Amino acid sequence: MRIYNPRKFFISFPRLAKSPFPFTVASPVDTGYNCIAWVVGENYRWWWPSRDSYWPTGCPQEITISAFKKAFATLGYELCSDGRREVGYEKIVLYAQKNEPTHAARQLTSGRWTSKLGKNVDIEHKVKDLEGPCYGKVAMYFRRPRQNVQSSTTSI
Amino acid sequence: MSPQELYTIDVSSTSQRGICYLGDRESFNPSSGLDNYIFLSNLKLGSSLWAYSVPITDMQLNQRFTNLVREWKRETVNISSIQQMVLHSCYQEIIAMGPKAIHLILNELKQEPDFWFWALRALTREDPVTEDIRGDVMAMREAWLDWGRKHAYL
Repeated sequence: MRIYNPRKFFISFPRLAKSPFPFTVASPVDTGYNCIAWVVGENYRWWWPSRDSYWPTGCPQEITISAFKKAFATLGYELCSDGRREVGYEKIVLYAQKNEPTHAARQLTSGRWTSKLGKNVDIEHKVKDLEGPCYGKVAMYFRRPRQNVQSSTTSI
Repeated sequence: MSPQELYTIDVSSTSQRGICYLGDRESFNPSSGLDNYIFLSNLKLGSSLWAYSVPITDMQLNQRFTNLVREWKRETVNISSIQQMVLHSCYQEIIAMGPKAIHLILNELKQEPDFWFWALRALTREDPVTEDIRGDVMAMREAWLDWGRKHAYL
């Protein structure tokens, strides 16, 4: 599976190129879903506060951390202090640039993280490796009790 | 994004040049019937936008569209924010092409699904996408392609 525009990819995520922990590409380029959809377990629609995407009913249609907190809360996520693996919990991390959310990733049972990079591939990585000019920095972590229900996605 | 930064163009291929002031960013409507114009960028003219009024062949327009699409896709591939995608200068230049871009966009959408919906709404002043399919890019694409067929763009 190939990364779309590798040159731009490594400019956007310079830490991935330098990380001692190699990232792996898990799924191909797909315009049908984005990072937020991926972390909530969907791979068939784009989640974003915008007219051209899905956003939970009742959540503010604004690109703010508060709006994303409310969106994640509709699925049972609440703020937590860090990204350390906790038995019995699922965790997601929100990245932001100048206080505007840009990206989210979901923790795997291995402790690594999985991200869908916009329309690009989805990868497994270390949480700090996506910090950089494209997504900014890790802003906050969320967790919820691990779900037993199957998510509506083909590969979690 | 300031009006000065909004558009970048390459005028090296044009054979005739004439600067014509077409209005402020707020008042100028790209679909007002002036379909042979290109916006200039980086002119330190305060809040105004100046435009070349030049004849453009269909072939030049198609090539320009193709180049803008390619650059837009490259630059926005890793982004989730639809607002960032549609405010990208290449996307805005495509909208600035006016009504002639509608069939180009629909053909592009037919080849590959992508977030052309904002541009299509801006150019057509219509929206065939229903609330229940917002976010389902494939379904939204089909709604617009269906619209395109009904209005003889495809």
